[in-house]
Amino acid sequence: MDKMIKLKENNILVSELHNLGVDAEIGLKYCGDLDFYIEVLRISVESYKERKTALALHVGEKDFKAYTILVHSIKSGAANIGAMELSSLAQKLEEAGKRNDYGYIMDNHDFFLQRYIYTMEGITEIIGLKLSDCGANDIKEERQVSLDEIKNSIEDLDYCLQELELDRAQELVDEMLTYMVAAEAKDALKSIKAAIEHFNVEGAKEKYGILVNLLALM
Amino acid sequence: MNKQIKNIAIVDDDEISRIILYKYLILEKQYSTKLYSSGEEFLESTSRIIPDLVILDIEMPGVTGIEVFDRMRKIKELEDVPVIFLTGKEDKNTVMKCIGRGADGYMVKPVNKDVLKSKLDEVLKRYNEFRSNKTILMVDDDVEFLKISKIKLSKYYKVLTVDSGKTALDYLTSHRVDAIILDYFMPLYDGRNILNILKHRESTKKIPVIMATALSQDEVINACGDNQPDAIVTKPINIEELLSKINMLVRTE
Repeated sequence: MDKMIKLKENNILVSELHNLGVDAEIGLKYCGDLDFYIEVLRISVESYKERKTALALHVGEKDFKAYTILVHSIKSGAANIGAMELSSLAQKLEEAGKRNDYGYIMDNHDFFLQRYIYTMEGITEIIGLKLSDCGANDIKEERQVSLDEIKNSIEDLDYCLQELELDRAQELVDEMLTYMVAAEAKDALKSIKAAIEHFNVEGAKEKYGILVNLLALM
Repeated sequence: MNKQIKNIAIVDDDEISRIILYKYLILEKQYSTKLYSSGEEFLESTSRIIPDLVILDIEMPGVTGIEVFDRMRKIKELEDVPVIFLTGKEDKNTVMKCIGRGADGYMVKPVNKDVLKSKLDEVLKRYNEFRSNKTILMVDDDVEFLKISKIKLSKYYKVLTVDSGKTALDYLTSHRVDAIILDYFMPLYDGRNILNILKHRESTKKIPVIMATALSQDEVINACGDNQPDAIVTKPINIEELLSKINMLVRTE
């Protein structure tokens, strides 16, 4: 009952979401409380930009296997927030992918993509988020550091990746991005950061290897 | 202690006792309370959201508190829920009966507000500390799902997240976790194959595995054959349900 009262106090949010085809009451049922539901909406919006690009890429390259896996994720994510029509469209595309009906995918992808963009851009506006490239505005002042400090940071990072301590690894990478090191090393660090954000530990370890080699040459 | 709302079930045939406890608890904003006038009513009407703690009167007509407690420990969803017994007797035998049964505490009626609060804090804190020492490994290629689940589950457990079965298997060759949440549908190593490997490895076969999937339970059961997951959750996932299942499996394990 408390949830419904709080939800009705936010009836602008509910009715605006409803206009987008998003049923907030279904979303709340999965999320449990309003604050968490809004957090889930935010995460969905963060994933959207990259997924939109990936959808177009997979269709362009006719990589229907990757496309099917992606719409499978979008289907669940949409249902989590109460975007049931979007979820249903994704489900049909997933089913088409599984039965190798690529004609169906090609015929229906555009409509699905438009619906996805419409829903997500609408949610972005409602919850007041401005989408931006990750880290584009996070420019911190560079600082000179000793070789020992770099070595310690590298060892800590290795440990965190081995132990799957990804939150701590993320903090370390952000710290190391403030170090005055070569541009190639910074690029490697950014790649590690992107991999960690996707929980892609293998990718992060691979880029870590490149980083270590680059720093060894300095 | 974390400040999430805790669901407390009060099971007592004495209406005045129920109301007094209820009134004490509603003053504390971190509790949500459900009242039951008998053990049967509690056991039969357990909602999808499992209580975080049960205050259980021992002396009740029909099904006694002790019988309710014993039956709770045989129900998967309730077996790990902490229980505080309520008793009108402070004699040694009754106290020993409570503790010996495995209850998490007891209180003697009439219950003082401060005693109630301190007992709840003590039991819930102990239970949370138990959970926060446990590690859950989540394996899913769906980054959004991992992020969402991690936010909620990290309040109770240490949560590790990876996007591939291979990474998980490599990690588990030299590390131990207390439960694994495994996506069924993943590229390269799918959940079923990972599960098969986990159940055949000596070091991992006893770790409880929860399969997360958009497939129906029957489809998963049929697909997994001899190597079944310990629980199945259907996507889109209700996080509270997932948490209940983890609580149950971690405590059992």
